[in-house]
Amino acid sequence: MALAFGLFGLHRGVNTEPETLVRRAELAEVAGFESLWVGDHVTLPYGEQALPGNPADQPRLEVVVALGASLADRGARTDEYLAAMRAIWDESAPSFAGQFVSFDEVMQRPLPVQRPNPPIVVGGSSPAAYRRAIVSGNGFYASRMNVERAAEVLGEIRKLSGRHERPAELGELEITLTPSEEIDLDTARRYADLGVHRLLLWPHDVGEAGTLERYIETVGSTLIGKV
Amino acid sequence: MANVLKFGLFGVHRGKMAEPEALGRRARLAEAAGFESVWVGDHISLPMGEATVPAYPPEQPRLEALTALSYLAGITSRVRLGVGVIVMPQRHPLLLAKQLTTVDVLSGGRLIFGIGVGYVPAELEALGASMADRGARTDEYLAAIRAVWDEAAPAFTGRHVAWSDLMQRPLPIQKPGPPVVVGGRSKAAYRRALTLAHGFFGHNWTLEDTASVLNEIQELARQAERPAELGELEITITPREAIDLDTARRYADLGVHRLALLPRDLDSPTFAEELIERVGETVIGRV
Repeated sequence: MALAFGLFGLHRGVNTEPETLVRRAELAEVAGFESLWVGDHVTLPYGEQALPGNPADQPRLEVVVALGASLADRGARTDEYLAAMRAIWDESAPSFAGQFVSFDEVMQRPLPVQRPNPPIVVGGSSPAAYRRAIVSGNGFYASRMNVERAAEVLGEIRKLSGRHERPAELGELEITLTPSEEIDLDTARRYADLGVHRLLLWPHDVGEAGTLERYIETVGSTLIGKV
Repeated sequence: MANVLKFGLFGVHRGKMAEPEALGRRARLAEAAGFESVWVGDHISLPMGEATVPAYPPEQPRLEALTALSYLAGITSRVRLGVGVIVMPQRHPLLLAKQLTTVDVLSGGRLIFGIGVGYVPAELEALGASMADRGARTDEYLAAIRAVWDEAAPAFTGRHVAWSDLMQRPLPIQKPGPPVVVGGRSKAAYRRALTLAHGFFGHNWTLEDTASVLNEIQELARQAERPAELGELEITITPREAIDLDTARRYADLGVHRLALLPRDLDSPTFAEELIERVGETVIGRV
């Protein structure tokens, strides 16, 4: 099975200009990237609460912070909301009663083109995230780790898989990782050997004109299709 | 009238047009035919069974309003993109501000932000609002969104939502934000439009309805304080009649600025196309 390559973060910084965004997306598609990914922060804290690595004044198009939720209930909400969405996407049962949301006999049309729903990829780096991916995700995603850490995480997931039941319709758990090291052919092969299905590349320096374009072309000509 | 009557195409995200190919084709056709804007409505989920709203069968496909506009932003270049109207109590204002900004940025500043209080109880309740608090939520959420868009004050304290020291970037291209258009058929809606919005939107009205409501608005305008920076109240109507040159002139004579035309048959493969062509050739630019 070929290792798939995705490109992350096209919606941030200078990319928020629509023409730049489109040009780079098209370039990535032509270079053989299998997917384009964006992150989600609706709004970001600044001042004393600013998050290192996520400056609030860097332009971002889509974007997480407590919007009526809290750090205490985020796990419960995530599980419940996911179940609620599956109910909406289930043709026969557009009703749901949970702790946070409830609805009865309301319908949404159209249904997604992908049936029963677009693949759901659970992100995170905690045992709770691994469990959630095993029992309710088509895939698992973790951001910014090296090969050694990736081997540990996949080992933990395999251990947990023995304890949690995975519904057969979810298929094999598809693993997507954003590597923290620069990727060359050898490193990409080591990720593939660990059982990783997709590397989601997050270029660090996209500010200077032409840098990201060269990066996309280099990955296309040296890595994609070779692992 | 000195001003030229503008034409919009309404309901482009529904029925047949929920298919991306038809949506794209009709929007581009409208742009080429001289339409000034394309418009989508907003229902997140519709009630089934006894609570069904007759005009809105829940089985009819409809795309989410702002996602559909985001798609249209990418494939059109000139037409303004209107949401007529977002049901405000159903949307968290911090998230909504981000989505509106995104459409405004991706379209190069072409978004028109229509707002309403909603009227489908099952839909409001499923999304955490109610008929009782819908007006208060609408006013509060609009103020909250304007706070997000104010460079100087990214903090807000309301009865339903509150935050401080949270920032969103980028800001909308249109300053201080996309124009706000209030829709509805009540004194509360007219007052909200006069005191808080750039425009007013009347949906599915006849000439007679329009004349009577515009009179009411004029009456109210004498008492309501309209901030100078909002300018003249821009009136948009989705007419119930089929539109020809004569009917269009009569709307313009009433003081209407824009007609947002809703094709009566959204599922037909040709009805909307024929309407766009006919109006483009015989009406647009002549009123």
